[in-house]
Amino acid sequence: MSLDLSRVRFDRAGRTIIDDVDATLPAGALTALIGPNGAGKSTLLHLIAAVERADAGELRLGDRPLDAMRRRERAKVVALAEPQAEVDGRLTVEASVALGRTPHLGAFGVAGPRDRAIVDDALAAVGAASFARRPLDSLSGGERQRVTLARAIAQEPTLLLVDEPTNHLDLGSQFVALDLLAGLARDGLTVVAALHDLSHAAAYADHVVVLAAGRVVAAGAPADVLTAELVHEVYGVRAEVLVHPLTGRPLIAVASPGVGAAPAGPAAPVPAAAPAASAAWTPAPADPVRRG
Amino acid sequence: MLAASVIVAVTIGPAPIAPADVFASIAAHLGFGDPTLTTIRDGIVWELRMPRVLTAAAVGAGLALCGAVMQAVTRNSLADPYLLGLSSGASVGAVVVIVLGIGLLLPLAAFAGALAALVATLALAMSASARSGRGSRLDPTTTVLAGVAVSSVFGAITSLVIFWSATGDSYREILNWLLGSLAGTDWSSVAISGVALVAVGVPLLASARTLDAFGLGEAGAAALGVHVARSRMLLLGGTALLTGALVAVSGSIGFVGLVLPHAVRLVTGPGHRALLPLSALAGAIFLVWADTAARTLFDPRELPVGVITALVGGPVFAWLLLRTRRTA
Repeated sequence: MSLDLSRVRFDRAGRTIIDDVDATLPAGALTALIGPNGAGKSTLLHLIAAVERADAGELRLGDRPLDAMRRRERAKVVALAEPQAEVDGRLTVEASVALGRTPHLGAFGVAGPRDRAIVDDALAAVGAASFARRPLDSLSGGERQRVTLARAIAQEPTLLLVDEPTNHLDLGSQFVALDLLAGLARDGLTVVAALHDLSHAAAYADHVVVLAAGRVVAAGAPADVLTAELVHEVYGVRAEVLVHPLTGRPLIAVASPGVGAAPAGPAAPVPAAAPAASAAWTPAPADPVRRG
Repeated sequence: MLAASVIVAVTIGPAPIAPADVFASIAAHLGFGDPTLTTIRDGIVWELRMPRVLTAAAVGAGLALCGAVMQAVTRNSLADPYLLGLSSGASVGAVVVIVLGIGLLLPLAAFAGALAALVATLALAMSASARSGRGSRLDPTTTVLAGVAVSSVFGAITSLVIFWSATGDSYREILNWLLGSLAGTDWSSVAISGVALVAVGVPLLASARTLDAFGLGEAGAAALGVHVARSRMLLLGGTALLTGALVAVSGSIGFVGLVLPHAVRLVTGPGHRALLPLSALAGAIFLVWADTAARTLFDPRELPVGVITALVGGPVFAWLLLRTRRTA
């Protein structure tokens, strides 16, 4: 189900954090939410996940207005994976992922075989089955990240929100995490990920929403949205959009205004190279290279 | 094990009583069989030791449960009704109504006192944390320091009220409230602590899943469908209510709520569905034996039971403090 935001607004301490956001995030697709620090990415995810309430506007998942749903009902369809969530390190991976079943069980429900099967599937989906019985504080950052994601998957949502899924991950683990999200979207889940790395957004997202100072400044397909002009406008850095030699997706090369010999001013945009120009060393232009 | 502890604890004391005598007395009072004990021996079992041991069990269970719940809700491994000032607040409420002679309001006044102390501690801790720039996240040690400040003030008020009103041996009574004592408990103490334990304890036990979700932080719990602000208020209000009723019959017995949940957690892990009931059980057994020690070690003089629990709890608190400091 697609997520529709209309005129969503959120104020905190007299400051407008989210300013009349309108956006449609397509169903069964991976949407990248990008924008500089403080743009309101995490806050917007919190508004969708009912961690905070919007002051105005409407959030609809398919045809259901989210704010009219009871908290538990909402948690059955919307899951949030936040890497910064602190958890008791003595909890086992399995127990931590089983917390995702909370909204389905309520206060008195007892986890049955179906719940355990869902937890096992979630552990398998993120490749965490092998360390399911270990305590969380024995895990590496990448393993913890996977556990967080598994907990959200165990919630069986139709909308999965992920805040900075590649934060603190090494290069290989970053791609594992992104591949996983893209795979979930292909399986029909609506996935929204707040990302910092524009090339990740370009390589993996089906849809990009750019947030700056609480407003949507651009939205659409990565190739249409991620232009040198936009990157300069939003991040204030000099950028050039190339074609990724391995994937054919846009590749954003950036430098700060002071670095390198800028021929013209910092804003000098170089048009994206045509895919044909680099076709010679682009083996598979259609699909991102999948790892593992 | 709790039942066995209760029976054995009742047999221990200056007058030798056999376990069989305990059973006989219980049976007679529950209407099975005829009384076989002398009136005096039966009185020792049924009127003196039995209510005291049962009160100890209820108070121990309740305090341990409150500690486990508070540790989860405040995400502070040092949280406990005694350290955060609830017990001293409850003492003030209880002592005031006793002095005014309106005993019916006892549990209510103790609850009001506990709640006032809790609010004072959290408000103080929050503004102290805000000043140190740590944001709204409560620092565990700051919270405990706030609890110490609040405890001191409420403890002093308790002492003053007793000193003003009492005619005779006010020092002993002050000590009993500040350190906690189960001397002089009767069946009405059993009723107050027992009813509170069941009425508040059962909803707390049913909150295990919510408490597990609190382990993910505010945002994490909210994303799992927990109404964070409301649950936190209800759960902390419940612990204040239960602490109030327990302190009204026992004074502020310290460290039971701190030590037992941590000890049980070492065995069961942090999941609250096992932790809560087992903490309550362990707390009951622990306090039955601590009180038995308190009334027999220096026989015929009696030690406030809080001295025993502090002797055990102090070192554990120190160890937890070191561990919190390392991970903070």
